[in-house]
Amino acid sequence: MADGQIVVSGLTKQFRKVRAVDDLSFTVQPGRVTGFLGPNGAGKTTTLRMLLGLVTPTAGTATIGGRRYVDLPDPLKIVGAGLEASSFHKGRTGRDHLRVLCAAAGLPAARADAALEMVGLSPAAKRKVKGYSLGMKQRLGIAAGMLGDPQVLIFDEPANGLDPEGIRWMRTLLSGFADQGRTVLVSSHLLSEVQLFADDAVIIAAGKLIRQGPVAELTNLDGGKSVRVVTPEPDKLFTALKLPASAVTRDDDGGFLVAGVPAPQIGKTALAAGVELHELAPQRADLEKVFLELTSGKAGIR
Amino acid sequence: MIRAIRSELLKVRTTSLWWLILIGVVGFTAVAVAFNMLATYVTLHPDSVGPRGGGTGEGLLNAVTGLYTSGQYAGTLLAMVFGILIFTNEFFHQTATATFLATPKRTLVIGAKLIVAVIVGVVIALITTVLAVASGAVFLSTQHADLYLGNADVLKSIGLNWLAFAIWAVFGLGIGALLRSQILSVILGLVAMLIGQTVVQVVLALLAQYFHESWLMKIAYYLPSSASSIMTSPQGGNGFQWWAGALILLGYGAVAAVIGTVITRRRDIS
Repeated sequence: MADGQIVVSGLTKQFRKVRAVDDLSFTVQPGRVTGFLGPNGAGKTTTLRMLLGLVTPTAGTATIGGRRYVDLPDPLKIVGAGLEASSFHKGRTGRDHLRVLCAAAGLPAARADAALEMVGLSPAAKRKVKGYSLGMKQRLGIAAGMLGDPQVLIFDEPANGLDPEGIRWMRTLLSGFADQGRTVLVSSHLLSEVQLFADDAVIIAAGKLIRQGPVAELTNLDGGKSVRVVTPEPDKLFTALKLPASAVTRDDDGGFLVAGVPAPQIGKTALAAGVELHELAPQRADLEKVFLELTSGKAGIR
Repeated sequence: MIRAIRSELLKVRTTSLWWLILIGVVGFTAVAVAFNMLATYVTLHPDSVGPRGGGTGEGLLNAVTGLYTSGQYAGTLLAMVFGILIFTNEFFHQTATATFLATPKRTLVIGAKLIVAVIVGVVIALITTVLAVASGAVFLSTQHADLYLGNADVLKSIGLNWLAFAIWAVFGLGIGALLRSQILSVILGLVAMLIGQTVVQVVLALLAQYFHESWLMKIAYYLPSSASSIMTSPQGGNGFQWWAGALILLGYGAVAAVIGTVITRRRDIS
């Protein structure tokens, strides 16, 4: 199965009184890391669980390579998943946990050792899970997902509990998977995290799709067109630029945000007018800011 | 299916549950063997306890049967607890997600657990039988008594012992699948096995007296624990043949397992 496209279409889940996921549609492409973003309680985990056949949708479909998860003949060989509320028997060793899954998936037990090696858990393989740190459990969860060498990887909040070193490792691992042409879908409620390791982002709030697109594009939503300028002679510069007063706003740090004029043109005008420039920086909106703007008013707690 | 069974067997082998159960089985069997040896001794030597005794052939037959199937009571109880735990552990330790990701066809998972419950039930039965028959035969020969190992009724009871263990294990699995909560399942299972029988019997007796309908009393025979004792008694009991007891018990196990399966197939795993 070369095609590992994930297609979510009209997906809806109604729990007793709460519509956790509401007519959600998006696609996830192979060869890219896709961040699945939303505030806590937005319906991310429920969506992933419906995608993996653990929760039955009220309406709509979620397919992987055109098929529902429960219809996949050898699921672990096609899709590897690590979910947040999934845990391990505390009295079982990490290696035994993986061997149990290997047996169920018809994979050789040697795959368990290979997966442990890949996530750097080999030294702790024969220790019981109750002695693992949160970061080690996250690594074990990733190892479980890698057992069948799958085309599609789905991880729920994999960076939770990882230290900066662990996050860097995760980022390298995920982008490595994407470079191999795999589909990588990773959920997170932390924007900074997604900005770090995702190529695409699917943003949801209150169970609904807010926006989908490449991270680079999303961060240019309201920025891109504004340039931050620091100069000792602002009046001279803005007169030379022939800007209306409404196009310039003063920021808290003594700089000016100029809208509607690209940075090279400001630099050229300043040079011609003999105005001294201390800073000239095109603004990229922080994904965090975009996210808060997009999801504000759609509280996570319902 | 083979994969699912392998996986389930590996689950049993890779935690401390199996040897805790083993210690329990061996311990309880030892106590039961000692008790039944005493009972057999008293039956063999009626003068040792009182002025008159009834060391009849039937009394001795029952005593020897009891001796050879020592540990059945506690053993079937542990088999049931085991059946409960192999299902409820998946939710208690939140491993159900990983299990159902590896085997999305949930009926397969429950089927595999059912087979593992039967296997473990039979293994526990084998352990108690080997312990009880070996020590029982040694004891009887020291008393210069007939070993009764050629007696058809005794052999039948020994032979049916494993069936009781297997069915109780399946019954436990059914309760676990039905309730999902570990503590609730164990409590309900033990109540059904230990206290429930007596309580229901008393209630039925009162009802029977109140309504002057003696048939109400007979309902008690259809409860799991009396069905179990009917099945493993040499001549059946209460007017039932052993196979009727087996069928009643099997019915309970099957109903619990089927309802548990239907519920598990539809339930959201989160």
